[in-house]
Amino acid sequence: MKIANMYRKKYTEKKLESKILRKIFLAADKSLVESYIVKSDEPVKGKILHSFNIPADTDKKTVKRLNAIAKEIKKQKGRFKIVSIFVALAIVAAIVLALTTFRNVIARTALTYALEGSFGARCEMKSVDVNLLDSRFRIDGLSVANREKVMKNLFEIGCFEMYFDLLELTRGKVVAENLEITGVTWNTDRTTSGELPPKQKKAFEERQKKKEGEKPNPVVAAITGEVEKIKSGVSLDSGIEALKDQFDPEAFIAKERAALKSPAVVEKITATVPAMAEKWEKKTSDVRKQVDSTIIEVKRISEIDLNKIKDVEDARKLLKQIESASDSLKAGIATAKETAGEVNTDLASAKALAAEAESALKSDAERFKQLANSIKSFNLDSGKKMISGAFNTFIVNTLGEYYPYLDKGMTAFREMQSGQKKEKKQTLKSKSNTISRLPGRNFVYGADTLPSLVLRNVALSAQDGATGIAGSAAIRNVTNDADKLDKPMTASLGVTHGDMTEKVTGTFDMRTAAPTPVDAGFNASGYPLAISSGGATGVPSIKGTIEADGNLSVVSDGAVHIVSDLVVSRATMAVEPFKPDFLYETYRDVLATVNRIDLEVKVDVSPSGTFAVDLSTELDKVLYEALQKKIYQKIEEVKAGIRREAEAYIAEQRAKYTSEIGRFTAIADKSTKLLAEIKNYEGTIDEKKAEAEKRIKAIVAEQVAEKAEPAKKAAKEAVDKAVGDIDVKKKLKKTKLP
Amino acid sequence: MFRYIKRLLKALNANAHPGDIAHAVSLGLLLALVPKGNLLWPFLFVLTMFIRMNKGAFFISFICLSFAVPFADVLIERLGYFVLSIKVLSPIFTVMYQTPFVGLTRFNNTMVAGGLLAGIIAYVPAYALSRYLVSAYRKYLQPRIVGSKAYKIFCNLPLIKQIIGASDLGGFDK
Repeated sequence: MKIANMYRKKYTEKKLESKILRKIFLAADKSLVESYIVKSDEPVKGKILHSFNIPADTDKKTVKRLNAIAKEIKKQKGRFKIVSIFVALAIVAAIVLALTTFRNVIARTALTYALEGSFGARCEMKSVDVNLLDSRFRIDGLSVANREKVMKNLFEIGCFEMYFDLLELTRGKVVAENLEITGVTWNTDRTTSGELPPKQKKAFEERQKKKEGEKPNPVVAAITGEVEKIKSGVSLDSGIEALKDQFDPEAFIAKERAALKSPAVVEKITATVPAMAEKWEKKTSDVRKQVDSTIIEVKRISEIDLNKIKDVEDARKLLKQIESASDSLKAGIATAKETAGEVNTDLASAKALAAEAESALKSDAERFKQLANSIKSFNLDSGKKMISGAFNTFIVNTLGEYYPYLDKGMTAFREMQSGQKKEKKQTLKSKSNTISRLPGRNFVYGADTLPSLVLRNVALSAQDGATGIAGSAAIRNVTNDADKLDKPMTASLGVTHGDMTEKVTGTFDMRTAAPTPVDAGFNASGYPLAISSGGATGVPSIKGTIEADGNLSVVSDGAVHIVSDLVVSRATMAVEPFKPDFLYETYRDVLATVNRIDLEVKVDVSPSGTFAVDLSTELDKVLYEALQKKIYQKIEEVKAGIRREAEAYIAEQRAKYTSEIGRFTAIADKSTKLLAEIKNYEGTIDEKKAEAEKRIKAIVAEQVAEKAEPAKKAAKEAVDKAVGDIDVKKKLKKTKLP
Repeated sequence: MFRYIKRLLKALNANAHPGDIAHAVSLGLLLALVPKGNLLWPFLFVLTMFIRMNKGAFFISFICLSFAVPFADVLIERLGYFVLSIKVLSPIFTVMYQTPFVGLTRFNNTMVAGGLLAGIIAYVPAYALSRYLVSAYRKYLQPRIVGSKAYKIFCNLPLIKQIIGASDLGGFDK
């Protein structure tokens, strides 16, 4: 085995000590190495040299160990790795050089990644310039695509320029004296698709899903609920409806209906009498048929000329027919009598109901008369806020639409404040990895009390040729720690598009002790206004141009107060006709004279989300006074109308039951007449019977006279027998019939 | 962790310079004392990479002392406050504070300043103590351990050999 070079050299005493022996720290190793040291017999330059005498037959293990010791000694070098330091310095220099050279590329890549992650669509920049010497950061031609319409840009920024404080930046703070964003346009066409690659798109969608899963703000939810309630709840027409009802005789009667006596009785009659009439009409009709057939038979028999009958046998047959007809007649009389009796019983009940109804109608008529006479004035309170009421829905809808934006803005401002950041929940992993240390205190030397984000002057300007929208804004003291900066943010914004302009000037004070975090004046003008009546009675549809000039404030507990003057100029109002005519005409005439509406609006939104809207306008007063004047002139007309309507109502009620009673009475009369009619034929049949008997006797006498005695005798016997049979039958019949 | 332990054991039982281990322990203490989350800590860490020392001892001391150091935070904070409050040094601190990028070291934080100063102060005693302990170990303890039967049996266990490469423990297998 080859021995290390170290053992082949010769060393002076001093060098042996410094280069080898001093570098062996294990006693066993030291003694091992020392055991092979031999002194040279011949001194060189007066110095005794030492060398190692390691025999060739030394075992492998020892040689290996000696070599390992030599290796360990060789490893012991200077404390600092000079070469590594130079290499590291070279690497640092290369990194600095690369960062300087590629700073713009790096900034562009980072920005593109961040913006694409935020907007979920392609982002491009014409140029990015990060100039550390001038402390300037500039982006030209920034465009962010619209992820919904990939061939359109969501917005474009012509130039973004920020002059930052390099010193603060190295302290991890973004402090900019001036930030200018100019040439903002939106919805511009793109030449290439703005869609992200599938992987990035999927990541963005997953982030969006997470955001959507977050619970909505309870205050916004409460306000939306309130808005929906107002939209679907009591409509604006309740005012005019309530007013109108006082002058409408029909509505007046309808309102009193519950207190009337007659409807119940009339209802009872119309429910019971028709059924009875129906029943007895059928029964009477059946009896009529029976009576008619009996009468026909009686008439037929009575018309038979008995003198033409020459034979006894024929006479006997006729007599039998007469007996049968007599029986039918008697049965018919009995049925008719029974029917007539029952019908008349029911008729008495119906007549009793009719009398009751008549009494109730009299009472009701008297009640109407007294009510009509008692009208001295009208309650016009419900008609006091007809115009402001129409605007109420407009205001509530506007609030429902824009309050969520205000809330989002406030939430964003609050979250931006570093002092109010949410504490993230530590995971078990992060907890186990963290060895918590005290945060310590920070000393400030010289001027430094700035938060980590300060934008002292921000100027924005936007101009979109396609839509004609132009706007500018100047914002001061944007910060993420207003307490530290100790200044409120002030903003002045102005936007014009066509005839419409919006201006907002205000302070946004996010300091903890600020009593009014938001205090902003606003002015919006030139907005075309069209409020539909929504088909509600008496609610005018309003058209015109609206201007709002007011103030919005948010106090520390989160309550929002809005006070604003609203002016609708070039106003035209139209209302659909409604009853009563005089009310409509008065209303319409007053509305026709109006071409300007001045309103005062006061909206208070509580921290819990409930809100109160208070609207007032002089026009309501004008309209109210005009209606009041006209209405008092109409009191007598209204009274007369109510009387007429009451009479008509009574007549209608009376007609309802009298027709039914009349019908039933007619049926009862028919039944009575039927009985009388059938009774008339009772004498006729008896006379005919007597005639028939007489005729039989006469025939027999004639036959006796014509023939011989035996014949006479026989005839006499035959007569006797015939008479006897009839008597027997008669007797039998008498016993059977009741 | 096994790698660091192995390196330390190897260095302790080989002819590695005791200063390598002593510097490693002292630097580990320094880095444990200085809080993380500022530019100073990575700067010191990179600096240690250019110092020839025993990496195993460095990482083991850094990891172990990191658990113990928080108990001394109150003292460190007070020390930092004391240093940063020294009026004579105030102009120097002001210049440093107003110099770009220096602020990223957060030297103006009492914990950072206190940790750094405590690390520097403790460096020499920690070095001396470590060096003495290494020497003492090599002189008294190591020969006894190597000579013991129990150690030889332990080193020859197949599992131990496999896990830490016991046969390569710098002299223990002699």
